[in-house]
Amino acid sequence: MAELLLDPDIRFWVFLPIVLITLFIGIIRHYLTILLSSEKKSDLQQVADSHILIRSRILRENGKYIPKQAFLMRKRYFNDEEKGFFKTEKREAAVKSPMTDPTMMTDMLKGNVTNVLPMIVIGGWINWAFSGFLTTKVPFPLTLRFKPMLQRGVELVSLDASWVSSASWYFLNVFGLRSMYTLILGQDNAADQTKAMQEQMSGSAMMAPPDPMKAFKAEWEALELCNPQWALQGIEEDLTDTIIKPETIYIKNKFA
Amino acid sequence: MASKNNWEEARNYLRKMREEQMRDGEYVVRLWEEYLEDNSHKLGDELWTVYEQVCIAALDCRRMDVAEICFEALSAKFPGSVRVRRLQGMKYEAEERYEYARREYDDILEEDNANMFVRKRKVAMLKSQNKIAEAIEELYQYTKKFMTDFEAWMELCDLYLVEQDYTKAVFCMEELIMSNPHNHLYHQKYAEIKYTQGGAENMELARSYFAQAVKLNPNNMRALYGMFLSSSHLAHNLSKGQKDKQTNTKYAAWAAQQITEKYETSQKQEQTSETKYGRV
Repeated sequence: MAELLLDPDIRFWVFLPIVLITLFIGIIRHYLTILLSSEKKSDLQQVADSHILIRSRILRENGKYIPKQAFLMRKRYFNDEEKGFFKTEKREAAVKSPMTDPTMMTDMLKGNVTNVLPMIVIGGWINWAFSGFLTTKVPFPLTLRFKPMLQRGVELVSLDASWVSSASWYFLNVFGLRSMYTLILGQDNAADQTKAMQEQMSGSAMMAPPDPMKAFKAEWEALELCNPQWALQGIEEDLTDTIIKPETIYIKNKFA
Repeated sequence: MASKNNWEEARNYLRKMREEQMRDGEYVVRLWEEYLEDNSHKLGDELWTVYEQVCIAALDCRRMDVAEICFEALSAKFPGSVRVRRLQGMKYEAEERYEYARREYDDILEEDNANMFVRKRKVAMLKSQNKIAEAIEELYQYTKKFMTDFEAWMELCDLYLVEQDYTKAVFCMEELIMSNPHNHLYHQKYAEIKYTQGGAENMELARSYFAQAVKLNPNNMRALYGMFLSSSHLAHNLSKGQKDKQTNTKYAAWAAQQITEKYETSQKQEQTSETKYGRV
């Protein structure tokens, strides 16, 4: 197959612009997120609830190390039929609907403005403005499987797989500029789109905070079943059995 | 070249101190004045964290001039930030203007009532004024909300001990033991409080917990002594019968033997090391 020659104009008007556009978009995104981000304040009630759940879990796990009486006292504090914490505390189900809570609305909007919107707009624009070019060639042979990845927008069956199309070049840049951003903007920058995308994937699960009432109920059940034996029972025997002839020393010397 | 290495070393050491929460005010201030103050432009974004660290360190050792510089820099950079206002409060504290400090802290809490540091500062402030009862009350409210802050439980335990309220101190120690049942010092301290409380039942518990501490760390001499004292006390004054007395005597004897063994071996080591040095 004859070697392809690319027009040098492609280098100046397609290849480099795509790199620069993605780079600058990332930097703008970084500063935009800083500008728009609102400080998250933790709600005291929520913090206290999570603390009490952890404490109850610790009690279940390590309750055997404190005297039985102390354990029962704590268990009663949590689980008593009438006055127990898990029985009396009532929490409103904290499933916030985004429609009723304006702060959440704005948060979501900000997230969309900085993450999703540029993705769609820039991606579409790149596709529209720079589609159909071959921009560069990777300096090693590749198998046919790489064609859909590297040659998006240029569906030529006979083309060598190591050529990269403009749309694919854009995507390579989007995912590959992370280290450039850390170089320019430092650690923990908000320019990287891949991170934002991961957050979006897992975000849906994290969005709804767990219902404290359900957690209390589960913890109540678990604690109800918990009835540990004191772990220090017979500890002295354990220790002293390793030693032979205990009666020699102090009775004669000190208390005789 | 040497000066370059020095300021980098100083920076790294400060970093380490931050991570491990070491508190050595004088040393931090010295590092700052000798190496970092003239190189502060090289620190980049870390500068602000270092300013905060140095500011607190300077307050610790009453270097108000240094603290003032750091504080001015921080408040110019982050006006109205909660952390800067906390520093302001701590500065008032260092100047013993407690009323101002309290007002500052209360203001912060009004805005952000889940701010653990400020709440703890308030307790510390009361403690430094020797208002133990108020400090206990404040810290009690704190532990009610932040139940798994074990540092706070420790502090509360110590405060109760100052007030000689042993039953409540015991409760705090139990929390700590559950937080980390492998820490022999918690067991030891628990046993010590129980020993102080006295009475047959408490003494038996003390013996058990001293034993647990010894089991976790066989070199804990204090726990060994504790075990010896509690068991012999049980054997002689509080035993419930001949058999009980015998077993307690056995434990005491065991502890005593351990102690003598420990001292003998450590003495030997000292002697050998002495002879070694003597030859050299």
